[in-house]
Amino acid sequence: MIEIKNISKSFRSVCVLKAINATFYDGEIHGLVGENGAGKSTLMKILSGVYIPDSGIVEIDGEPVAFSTPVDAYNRGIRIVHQELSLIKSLSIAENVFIHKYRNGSFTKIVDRKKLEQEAKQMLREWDIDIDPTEKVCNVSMAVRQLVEIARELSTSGRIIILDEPTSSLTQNEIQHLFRIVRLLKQKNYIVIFISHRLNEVIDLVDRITVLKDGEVMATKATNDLDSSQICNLIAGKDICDLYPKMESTISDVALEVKNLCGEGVNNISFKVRWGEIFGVAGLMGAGRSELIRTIFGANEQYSGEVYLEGRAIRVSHPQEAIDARLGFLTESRADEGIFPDLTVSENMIMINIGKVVERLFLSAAKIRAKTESAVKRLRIVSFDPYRQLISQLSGGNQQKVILGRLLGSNPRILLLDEPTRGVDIGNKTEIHKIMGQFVKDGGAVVMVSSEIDELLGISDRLLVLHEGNYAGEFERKDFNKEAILRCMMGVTKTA
Amino acid sequence: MHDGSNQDSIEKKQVRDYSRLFANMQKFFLITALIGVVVLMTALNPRFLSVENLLNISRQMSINLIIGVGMTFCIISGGIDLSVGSVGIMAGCLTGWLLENTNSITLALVGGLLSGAVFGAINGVIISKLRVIAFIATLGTMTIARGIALWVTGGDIISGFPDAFNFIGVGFVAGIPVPVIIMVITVIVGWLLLSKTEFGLGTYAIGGNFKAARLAGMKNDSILIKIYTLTGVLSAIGGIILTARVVSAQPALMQTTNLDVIAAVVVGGTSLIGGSGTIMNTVLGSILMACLFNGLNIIGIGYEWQLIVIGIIIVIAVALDMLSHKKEA
Repeated sequence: MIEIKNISKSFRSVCVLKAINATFYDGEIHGLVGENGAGKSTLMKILSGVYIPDSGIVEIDGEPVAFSTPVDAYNRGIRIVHQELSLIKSLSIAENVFIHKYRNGSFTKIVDRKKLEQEAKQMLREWDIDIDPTEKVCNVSMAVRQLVEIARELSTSGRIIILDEPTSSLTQNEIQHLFRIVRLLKQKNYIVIFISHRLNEVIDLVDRITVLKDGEVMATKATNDLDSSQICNLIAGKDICDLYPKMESTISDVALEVKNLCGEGVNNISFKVRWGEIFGVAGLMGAGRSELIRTIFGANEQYSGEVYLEGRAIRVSHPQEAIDARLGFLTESRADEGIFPDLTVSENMIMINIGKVVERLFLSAAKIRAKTESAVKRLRIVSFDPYRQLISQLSGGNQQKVILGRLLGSNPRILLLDEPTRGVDIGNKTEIHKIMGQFVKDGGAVVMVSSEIDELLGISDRLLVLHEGNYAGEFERKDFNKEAILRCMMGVTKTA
Repeated sequence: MHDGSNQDSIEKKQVRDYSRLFANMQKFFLITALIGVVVLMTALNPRFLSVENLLNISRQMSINLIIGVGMTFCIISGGIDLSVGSVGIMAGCLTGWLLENTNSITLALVGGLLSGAVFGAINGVIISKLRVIAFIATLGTMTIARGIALWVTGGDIISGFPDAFNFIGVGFVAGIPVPVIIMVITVIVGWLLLSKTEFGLGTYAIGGNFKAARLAGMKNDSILIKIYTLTGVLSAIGGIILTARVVSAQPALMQTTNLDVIAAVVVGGTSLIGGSGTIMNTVLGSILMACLFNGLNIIGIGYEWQLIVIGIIIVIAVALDMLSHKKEA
């Protein structure tokens, strides 16, 4: 049993945690939910010894413990599986799993790879993970990497496992596999703390749930007493739980038509999107969803096929040509391809068609200010000083809004959005959906790729389903049926 | 229900095959280039493959390969060491100065090797503790070491060393040049360290993902200091061998050693991105570069053309490396 008593923590006089109390029992899966910035990460960093609390204590089995470094927490059996994967891609799975045994860099300690692979194989089998431990991490899928990450923590004699957003890059099958492992952990009497934005998952899996808001515990309850809308209300702290607000818009002529498009991972895809429409693209991981819109935008190479904008054929071989044709693209990997982490919020925002903020050869401060101000207001970006604050200091949701602001700055008429709300808290998620809604209401068109089926069903007008790079089906909003769509995604039945 | 994962792996395989193709081309390039050079040179001048010339080639490459072993560790860890040549000649000059002033070979060798170790450790501390990127840190120490070499010798050449010392550079044991013997020992020790020990695994981990290695509890700083200290010592060995070989301490030597060594490591296929590479790669790269230089020499091609040919080889090698990494990134 691990108890948190009256933990408080402030950063530069901003109070992040206010007298938090929580108890995690042996053999319990405990959910921790809340918006970005609610204090979940800070609390977990205190538990894992990264931060030292200003006041309050942590007790393990009734005995007070004071962690001053992550190593202290580690030695007390606390293991954290990080949100951003922390594997070393150029090493094998076996080496990654047992890396903790080789941390001193000694000249004389021999690494017996055969034995390592044997042990890794055995331990992976024990946890029902069917992968070859000799494979290098860079050669396996995200899902396998996630499992390896967990396996690595399990290979040490820990008893408290913290999983931070473990499902954000997994598909439905993979999530089920992960859940089996988590339940196995419960049977073996581990304490599992599970952090997730996906409430439905949390409710399925966890025994009890703690809701944080603005650094305070709103409630700790057994999940059988709760449904997702109740939790949602606690998280948002208000009684709106219209998670997916669908705005009315007028659907008119065909805006974008794609004919027999082929590219890497995209096989002969055709579809039409109309003005005023949010067009969803569904599919499992690797179905070619992202590849499809990347190919349209010119971020991936177009092998063959045609793209028409209002009936006029366009040929895009570079993103700038797509931007000139008034397309806007949002990448799914914000950290890798989206933000410039060392630049300010404002600089990040103007990083498109920079020519527009130039006056007589030089960047114009006034134009930058005007552009930034309007985007901050329009998208309700929370930044204490957009001209000084670095984008990397914002929460995920706010970063996403800055990048949306950037692409709206090129004045697009069609948005191609890849996972627009991945890793975004509920409040900002709703706002991003509203921004999309307003965009199509004003006569634009949106193509949205998402791995969250509820999001697709919630705000799309029509839905394209892909399977292994091929067309698998198309659904009108009035015919939306979650089960049928899921079947279609898995390629079980083709609804043509 | 297995559809998803199957399809996932198919997708990944397709993506992977491109990079594998380039990775194979990279290996293929190295071996073909090596065979091509050997065949061409032998055809143009049969003396190229004589035992005498092969020994000659291995002696010519010995200093660069000894230092190259250290450079391989630096580059795999995601860094680089530009100071190797200067540190080497500094150690050589210091050894020469100690020989002249103390007449003790042991003291001179210990002093020379120690100076290399100290400079290497300083590189490591600047890179790990002060967070200066390796390129800049070693650019600074490179200049300092050259300055010390000039200072110690007063800008002149020190000569008149005992034969027992010169033996290190010009001697033979069982018909094999001493520098070659030292080179072989260095390669074996380096290979063992990199592929079999905790230190080697740590080197790969740091270069593969620095932050992840830290999160895994790895002692990144101490491993980095060890890597650069090792390189410093190997540079000193190289510098001492050269000093003994030219039977004098000459502060102006080894001006381009750093670039020659980096070229051999990279041509061998160790990625400048860090995280991958082997000692065997560096050995092959060094052999290729040495054969090229030697071969172009024997067939009577001028130095200017040697530089042009070698420059082209380096660019091709790095381009293949980048292409083979493109899809993984």
